[in-house]
Amino acid sequence: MNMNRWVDDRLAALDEADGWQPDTARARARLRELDRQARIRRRWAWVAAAAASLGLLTFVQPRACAMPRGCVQNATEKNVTRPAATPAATPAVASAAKPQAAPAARQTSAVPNYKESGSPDAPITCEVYSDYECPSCAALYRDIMPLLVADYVQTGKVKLLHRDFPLPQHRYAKLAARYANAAGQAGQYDLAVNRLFQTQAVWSTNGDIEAQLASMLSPEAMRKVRDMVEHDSRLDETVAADQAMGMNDGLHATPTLVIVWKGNRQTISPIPSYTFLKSYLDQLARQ
Amino acid sequence: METREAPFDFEAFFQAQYGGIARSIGRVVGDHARAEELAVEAFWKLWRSPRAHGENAGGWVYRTAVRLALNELRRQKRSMRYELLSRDGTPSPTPEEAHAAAEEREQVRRVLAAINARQAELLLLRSGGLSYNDLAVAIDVKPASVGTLIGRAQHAFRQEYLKQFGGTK
Repeated sequence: MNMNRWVDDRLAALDEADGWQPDTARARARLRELDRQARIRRRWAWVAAAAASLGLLTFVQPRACAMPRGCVQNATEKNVTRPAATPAATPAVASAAKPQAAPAARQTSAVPNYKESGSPDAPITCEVYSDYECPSCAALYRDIMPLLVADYVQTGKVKLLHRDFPLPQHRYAKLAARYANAAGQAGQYDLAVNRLFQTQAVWSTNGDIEAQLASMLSPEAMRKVRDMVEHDSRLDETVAADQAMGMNDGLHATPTLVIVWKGNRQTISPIPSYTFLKSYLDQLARQ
Repeated sequence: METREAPFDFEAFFQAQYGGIARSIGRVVGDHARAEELAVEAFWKLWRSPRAHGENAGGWVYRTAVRLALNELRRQKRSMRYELLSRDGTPSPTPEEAHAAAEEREQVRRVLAAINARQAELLLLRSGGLSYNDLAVAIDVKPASVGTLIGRAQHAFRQEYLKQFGGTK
């Protein structure tokens, strides 16, 4: 007996030749109704989240150490001496080797800063501390950053600033930051950052970061990046300056978001869902 | 920073796939109205699962539909409404062939509701035309294992069928 055939014959009995045509239009209308109901529920959830976040930020001090998610700096490494904290850790400032003059330098610099995006006049700045080898950072860049950029950065409401915070337990994180910053010097920062996070699972096992970037960047850009990674010590200064700023913000884990608004720096860690973050940013924008 | 991929055209996907998915559910549950409700539920799950959007969306929604259909079949069986529903949904048994087919359909549904859910799912996905590779993705196993699993599922189906209805078909 052929088992295949026997079972197929039985299952074929399920096919009815009754000319039934499912009503696509009615089904689409039902889907729209479900979507409408879900939107109403979400709207109420946002209101509740916004109220909760405002209450939290009003009555609770920032807790940089409370990190149920993300990568936490090893306890043994926390006392490692860091460069003195400076209010600005952007590459332009770091390469000037005068961190104390950073705020003025950043505001007046005519050189576009590859770590910043968005309008310089945006009322809110989001500083994102990340480690290229941190899985939660990769998830942040995959799930939340595209939405944040589309809704707030591209609309001029928020200025985004990337900051490097490679953790000591991640073997290749610092090297990845060097590659990203070198790509930034070559005008390919966003491309490199995205590529590094997207392929994190690959290069974090063997350290071959260059192979991942080479498949995205032009040979000319890749040559520049390679040269800088091998010879340019300012890349480390850039990273060190960001780390110092992070220490100043009380940071010891990634990813962490610092929201700068009206001169205040609000450390948010762990990073909440986009819905929650959106409700908070909308509240700030309305004030 | 540009990180978004090309958007998934849910509307076009829905228009192209809804009929087929509803019919796939209908052949299991035997109730057209209920099949349409479950098909909407399957697409609603897809809509709310952005990670499923993409080239594998077809397999994803089909697998979801089969699961919903089997759950419904078991629910019907538990609440003893199965017989009523299946008889209401089948055409009038005026010609003898139609009557025999309806009877066979009912028997197959009873067997699917009785065997292991994963095996029933596998048989339905296969009878829906999924290749071994698609099946492997859908049920999250290695392609090399699909043949063995199908063989076991077919054996279980036949054993249950013979147990319930006897004979040496």
